[in-house]
Amino acid sequence: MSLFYFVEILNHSGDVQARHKFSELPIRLGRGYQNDIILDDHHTAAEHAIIEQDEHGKLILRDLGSQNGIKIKGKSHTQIQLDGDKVVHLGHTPIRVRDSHYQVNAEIISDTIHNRWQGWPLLVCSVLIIAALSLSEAWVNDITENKTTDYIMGVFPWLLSAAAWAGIWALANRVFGGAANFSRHAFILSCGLLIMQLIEYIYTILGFSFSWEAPILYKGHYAIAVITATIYYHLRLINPRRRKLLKILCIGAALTVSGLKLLHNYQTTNKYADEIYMNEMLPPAMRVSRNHSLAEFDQSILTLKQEIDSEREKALKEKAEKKSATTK
Amino acid sequence: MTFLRLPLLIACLSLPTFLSLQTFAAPGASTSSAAANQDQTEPAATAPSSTAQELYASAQSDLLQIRVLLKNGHSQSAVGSGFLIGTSNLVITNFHVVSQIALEPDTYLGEFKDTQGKSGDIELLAVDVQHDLAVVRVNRKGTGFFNLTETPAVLSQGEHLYSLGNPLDLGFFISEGTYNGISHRGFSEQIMFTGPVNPGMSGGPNVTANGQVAGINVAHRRDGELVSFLVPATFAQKLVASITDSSKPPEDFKPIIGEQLLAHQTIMMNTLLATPLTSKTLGPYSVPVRESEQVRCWGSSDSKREKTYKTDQINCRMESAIFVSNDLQTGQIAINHKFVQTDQLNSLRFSNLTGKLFNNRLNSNTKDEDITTSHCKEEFIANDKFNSRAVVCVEGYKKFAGLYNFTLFTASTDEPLMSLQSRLDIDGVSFENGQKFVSQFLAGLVKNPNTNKSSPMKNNAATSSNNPTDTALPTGTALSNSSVSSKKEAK
Repeated sequence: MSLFYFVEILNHSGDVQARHKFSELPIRLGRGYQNDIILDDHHTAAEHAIIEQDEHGKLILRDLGSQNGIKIKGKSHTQIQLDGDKVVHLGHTPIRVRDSHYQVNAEIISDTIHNRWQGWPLLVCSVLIIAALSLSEAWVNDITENKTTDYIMGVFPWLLSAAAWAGIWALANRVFGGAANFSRHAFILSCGLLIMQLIEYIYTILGFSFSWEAPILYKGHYAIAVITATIYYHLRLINPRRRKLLKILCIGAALTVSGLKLLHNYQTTNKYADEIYMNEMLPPAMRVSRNHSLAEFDQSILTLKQEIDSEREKALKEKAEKKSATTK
Repeated sequence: MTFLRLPLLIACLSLPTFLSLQTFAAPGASTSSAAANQDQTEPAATAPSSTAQELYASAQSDLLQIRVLLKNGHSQSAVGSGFLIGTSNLVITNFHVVSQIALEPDTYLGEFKDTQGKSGDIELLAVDVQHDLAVVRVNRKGTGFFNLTETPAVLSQGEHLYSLGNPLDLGFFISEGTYNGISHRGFSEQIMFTGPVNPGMSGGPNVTANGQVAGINVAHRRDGELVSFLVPATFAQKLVASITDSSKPPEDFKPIIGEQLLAHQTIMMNTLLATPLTSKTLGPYSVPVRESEQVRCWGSSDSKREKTYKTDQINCRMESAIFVSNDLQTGQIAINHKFVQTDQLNSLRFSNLTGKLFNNRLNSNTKDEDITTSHCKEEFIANDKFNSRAVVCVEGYKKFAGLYNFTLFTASTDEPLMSLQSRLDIDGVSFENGQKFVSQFLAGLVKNPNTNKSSPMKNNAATSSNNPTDTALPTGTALSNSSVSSKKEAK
């Protein structure tokens, strides 16, 4: 069986850009036109490297005395034994050499759901979700008597904004990842919006029905979390390789923004919460937890005095310190 | 800031700042006339112009303009008027004219300017925040034209009075008007004067035709024409009497002002809590209001508009406030009841609407120089058959110990298609008084046992038909002004 050698020129994300087939060794690489493979890279020498067999019959890549040398992961070598998986940089050009005995990975079973859920069914689904959200929002907020046309017209700004958002991501995807994936980006956005709406229902019900106000007071942070999660999925679609790094980056960004928000709230209002009190209302039938008596409420007001007085004292102390500092 | 929530209808007469004190040594006649006879026999006979002419001629050397200047740069920050008392070196003016000197002596200083354009330093000696009065010492003596007596001048309605001062920093004016009785809208009396009192005339004297001091210019109604107010001269007399030649200005006025504010809130709250709150009916609910001489209520309704719901409101507020600084007016109470009902929305949409009405009810929660941030308690409460959500927010005054602002707002949570949202604002009271009022108010919110939901709105609030909010009052409605009441002496 005849043996073939393949030299693959890769791009920087590791995909094959060009593949050259040879049946004989040695193979010469360099910028000059006497070579078997001509490298269009100013950082390579005219005669840069050569692929040949060493005395044991192994395939090696040898440097021919170039300035930039041959490198694996940034480390220079004069001679490299090739095993089919090593990516070698000649100047700025990554290459990989395999022969016809190279064992490829097992076939990946096609993810049918993944493949079916793209293109127009996904787009239709996104449009339906967004339209439903905008209609429910319009309905619940409608306190004048809007006509049906007003409702329908109201859907368009939502759809246009969603299209603009998904369009930007699709453009980025086209540039950095090859395919636009517009409908998937639209679907990611609609899922984000849907989850945001569900969270709003959940904290409203917790607050109104079960008298648990704390989640409402920090509602800004849920928005931050949902937005970063949405952005994470957009980014993941563009570059599926670096999931772990993306995850760390997104979580880091979300924590930073949340932290800044808490800090800002504290600096302006002396409290970490976004809201001072819960204003959300639901129909009375949805009340579950018990109501408190007037006397209990009256008692709880009493505790405010101490809080306020200590804040006042703290402020006065700070002011006095500042004053004494400046007079000195 | 909380105090801005009720636009004060009364313009205090110091512009940004203006004081003019004019003193004039009137030729001998003055003193005796003041003390003496009230029977002003021939005001009608005398042509007004000539009376004013004579008064101004004899008063001008005791009249001063009081100016508050920034220490840094000596530019004027507030201007008002004032006048020398008797033959002393004491000058009466309004507290609101010199409040910056009292509160921020490191930043502001004062000076006077007389009718001849000469100026000199002033020294703030005493303040009476309740009555909006202040006494300053100057390095010159009065001629004895303006005298304060213990017994007030006896005035009859329609009698001519003359206000002196330096309006708008234009120059010294004398303006003529008439006496129209005493206003009881505040917690201390004020004379109602129908005549022009413009910003900058604050602290200037108001005299009868024979030169007796009737009062001190203090305020006018912005929504009226020539409806002005004077502090009765007796309060000024009491303040001056508390000062001796050896009196030294206190090092810090803030504790004194704080005490006066506390004393005022005691009087105010005792008056307001003396009788149980009045109850009014809004739909199936009974709501508490305080209607009195000092607190006026108005009703309004906006069913006209093409809306899916109808709103009826009762608004009660005091027409007086205590001026502490431009940023801080206090001693006020406001009550608002808003009853919303719908027959077109379903309960989910209606609750969304009421949630929005319940939002943003707190004016501000950002850090502030004068006031601490709001500290709130919220709870679902049940009172008899009335279920509601209540939020109480309290903030403390940083500069004055023991004074707090209370805000209470509630929304009913027992009817799917109607909502009662009430709000109570109390500014500048002790914690105990505020809490007492809040709990009385909450106890007053009840649901009438057997009301049928159909009864739309029996709102017997006020007679006036249209007075939606507390700002714009129909012209022709009289309102009164700020001030103070009790005979409390400020030292």
